[in-house]
Amino acid sequence: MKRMLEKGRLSTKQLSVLVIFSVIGESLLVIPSSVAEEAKQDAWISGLIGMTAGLLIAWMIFRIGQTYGPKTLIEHNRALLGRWAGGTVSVLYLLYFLINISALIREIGDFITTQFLPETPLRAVHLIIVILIIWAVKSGLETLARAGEVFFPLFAVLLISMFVFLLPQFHSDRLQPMLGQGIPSILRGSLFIFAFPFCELIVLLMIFPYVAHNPKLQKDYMLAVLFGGLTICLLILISILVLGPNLSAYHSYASYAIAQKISIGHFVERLEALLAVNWIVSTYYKISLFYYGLILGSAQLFNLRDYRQLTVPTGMIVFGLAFIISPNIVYFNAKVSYWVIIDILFALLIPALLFFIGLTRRKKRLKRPASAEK
Amino acid sequence: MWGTFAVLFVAVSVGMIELPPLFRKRWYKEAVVHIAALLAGTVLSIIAIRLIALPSPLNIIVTVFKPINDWLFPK
Repeated sequence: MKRMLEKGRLSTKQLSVLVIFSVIGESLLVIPSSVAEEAKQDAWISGLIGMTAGLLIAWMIFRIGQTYGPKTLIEHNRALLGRWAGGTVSVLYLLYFLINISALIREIGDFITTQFLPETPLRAVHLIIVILIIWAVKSGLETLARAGEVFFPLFAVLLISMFVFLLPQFHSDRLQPMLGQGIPSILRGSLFIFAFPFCELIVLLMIFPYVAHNPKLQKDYMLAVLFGGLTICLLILISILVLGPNLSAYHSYASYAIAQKISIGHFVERLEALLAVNWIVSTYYKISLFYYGLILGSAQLFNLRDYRQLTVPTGMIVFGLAFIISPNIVYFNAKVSYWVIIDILFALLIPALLFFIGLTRRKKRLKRPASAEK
Repeated sequence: MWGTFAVLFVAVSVGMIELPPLFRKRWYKEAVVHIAALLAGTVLSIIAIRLIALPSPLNIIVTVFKPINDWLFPK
């Protein structure tokens, strides 16, 4: 008996919008600083290397999703590894989703309370975000994707106009000396770009089964990933051009700092709030996707008949964890490099292992006579 | 103190709204998972609302991956 927990279907366009949002995600604000700290003025080279590797892993995630067919990651784990081993892998993935959601919410909370509303308690910001993601996931996947389509044009126009308004501030000499930091630090910087935007696309394995079939799906998906990746690279390049490598590494919100520098004829100024809105929108979609993956995954793990009743209690767990996850912003920022490692572990190593286990199983099944198949 | 009461109030009202339909449909497994998540959520939310300092769960990740992290990102 096959129960379908999710009845909605995404169109190719809706999936592309969600992919762009989750690639840009929280990276829009925080990534230039991490990369510039490792690679200094060569951060943009790191960006290109990371994007190339990222396109590869995004393609890999898509192909893996195609081999799963109508199964999500959690269902596939059970079918491949059996109840206990598959359940263990699934629980690890759900914990990864949970800790990622908490960290992303904490990032929004930290940003708003340090830059915008210093008098507001962190928990008030967390509460609003948690209510919003509960609302989104309770309304279903299709609603979330349609709301994404509504927000997307505004998001794109604001982001592009920010890039254009910054043109007068570019100082190309900030890119010198090229390759001054050596190849290892460039590669180290590219790991951040590989991990945060692209490896976290692994959550799409929970969504691919609900995307309507379309021959152009792969092309549009890859284009969406490419647009997201180019935005990230451009952002890093601009933050080096405008702020220079040292200031980019020094500001933990480098894009916010460059948006503050926009000044067109002393008239168009103080556009940083627009950037903050953009960032909150894209991070919100990323959180919602992860939250959707977590809720749907737990429902499938426990074989439940509906996932909607889990949204509010899990929201309370997320609300608590977003506070507990770090005692303060300094601790949180010092642990950024650990996210790179767990992202690569969950998006590259474990899926590759599962894929090879699947290959050996299939070979065994082919060797056996057909009568054993029943 | 009021924070704790607020969280308990929210938890009880969520349970009162969402649990009866599950029992009516005899979805006992769903109800059990719901109650477990609600209890965990209540405890964690009370910790958050009362600002009780706990060691971060990130410390587990840090302990496990410290050798790889130090190899990848030497200071």
